[in-house]
Amino acid sequence: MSTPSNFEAQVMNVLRGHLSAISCRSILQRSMARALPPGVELDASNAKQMFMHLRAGLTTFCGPTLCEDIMARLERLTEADSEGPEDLKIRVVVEHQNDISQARWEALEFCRRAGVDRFTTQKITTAVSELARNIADYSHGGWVELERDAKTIRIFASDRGPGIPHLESVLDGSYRSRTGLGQGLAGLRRMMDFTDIRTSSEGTHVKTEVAAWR
Amino acid sequence: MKSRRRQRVESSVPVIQIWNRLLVPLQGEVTDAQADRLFDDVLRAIQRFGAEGLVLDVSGVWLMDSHLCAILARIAAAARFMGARCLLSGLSPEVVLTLQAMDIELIGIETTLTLEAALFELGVRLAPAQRDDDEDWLALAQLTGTDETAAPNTKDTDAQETK
Repeated sequence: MSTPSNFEAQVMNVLRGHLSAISCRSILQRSMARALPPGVELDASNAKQMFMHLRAGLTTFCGPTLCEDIMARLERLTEADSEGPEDLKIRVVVEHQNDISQARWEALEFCRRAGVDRFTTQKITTAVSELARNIADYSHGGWVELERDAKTIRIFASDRGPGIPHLESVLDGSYRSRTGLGQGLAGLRRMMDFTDIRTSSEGTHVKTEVAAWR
Repeated sequence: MKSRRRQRVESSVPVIQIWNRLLVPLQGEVTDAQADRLFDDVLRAIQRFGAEGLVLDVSGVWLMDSHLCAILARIAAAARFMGARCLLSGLSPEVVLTLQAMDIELIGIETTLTLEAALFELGVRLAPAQRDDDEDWLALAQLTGTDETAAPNTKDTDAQETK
C-alpha cells in the first residue's frame, strides 16, 4: 500500500492536469477539511467521502462535464490503489513500428493509473518509446513490460534477437545509427536511476527503474 | 489483424504557409513515420513557397524522444541549407528536463519559449493598433464632465510627441 500522503499527491496530480496549482490546492484542502477529522490523512479507504465534497467544488470551478471526467479518473485512482501495487502491471507486444505508438500510449495510461508526477511520466513514456523502437527496428520482435511497487516504476524490455553487436559503443555514445542519433539507449541509461542491459544473439533484455515518488 | 494495423493510414503533420514563413505545429505524439514524412514535406514546402523562415512548434507534443529530436535537428540543418532559418518553439518543462536527463542536445536549432517569440525572431511584427489618444481623452472628459480629466490629455500627447 502506498502511504496516505502519496495518495493525496496522486489526487493532486490528477487535478493539476486541468486546474491551476492554486485552485487545486484550495479545492482539495477545503474538501479534505470537510470530509476528514483533523489529523487524519487522505488514503484510498477514506477518499470516497472526500470525493463528494470535491465534486461540488470541481463543478463550480470547471463545469459539470469536465468535473465528471475528472471524478471518473479519481475513482480509478482508488481502484488502482486498492488493487495493490503488485497488481499494476502491463505488457505490450512490439512487433513493428506501429506498436511503438501503442507502447507509448499504454505507458502514459499506466503512469496515470499509478499516479506518478508529470516529469516522471515523461521519463517513463520516453524510456518506453526508446525501448519499443529498438525492438521494432532492430530485432525480430519482443515486448515491453511496466510494473509498479511502493517506490519505483520498473520497465522490462525483451526481444528475440539478434542482439546488439556493439553494445559498448552504443552505451558510451560513440555509435551513430542510420537514423542519425543512436542515442536512445545511452540516453535512457543516463536518465533512469538503474539500468541493466544484457544482450546476446538469443535476444536483448533490458531492465530499468526510476523512483516514482520523491 | 497485424496487416490491418500495418495499413493504418497516419495523418501527416501540417505545414502551414504564413507570411512567407512556414509554421509546423506538432501535436500529441509524433510517430517515426510521421516524422520521416515531415522531413520531406518541409523541404518541399520551403522550395515551393520560397519560405525564408520556419517554426517548429512543439507546445502540443507530450512525448519527445531521441528519434524525434534527431529528425527535428535534421530538418533544421536541411532548412538552413535551403536558406531558411529554423526555430523551435514551445518546449515544455517536462520535455526539457527529460532531454537534459538523457543528455540529448538539439544541436544547431535555435529555440524560443513561445510561438510568438519565434515569429518575432523571423521578423513578423504586429502593426500598432490605430488608436487616437486625443479622442479617448475627449470621450473620458465628456463622460466625467470635468476639466481636470482633460489636463493629462495635453501632457500625455506632449510626452508622446517628444518621444
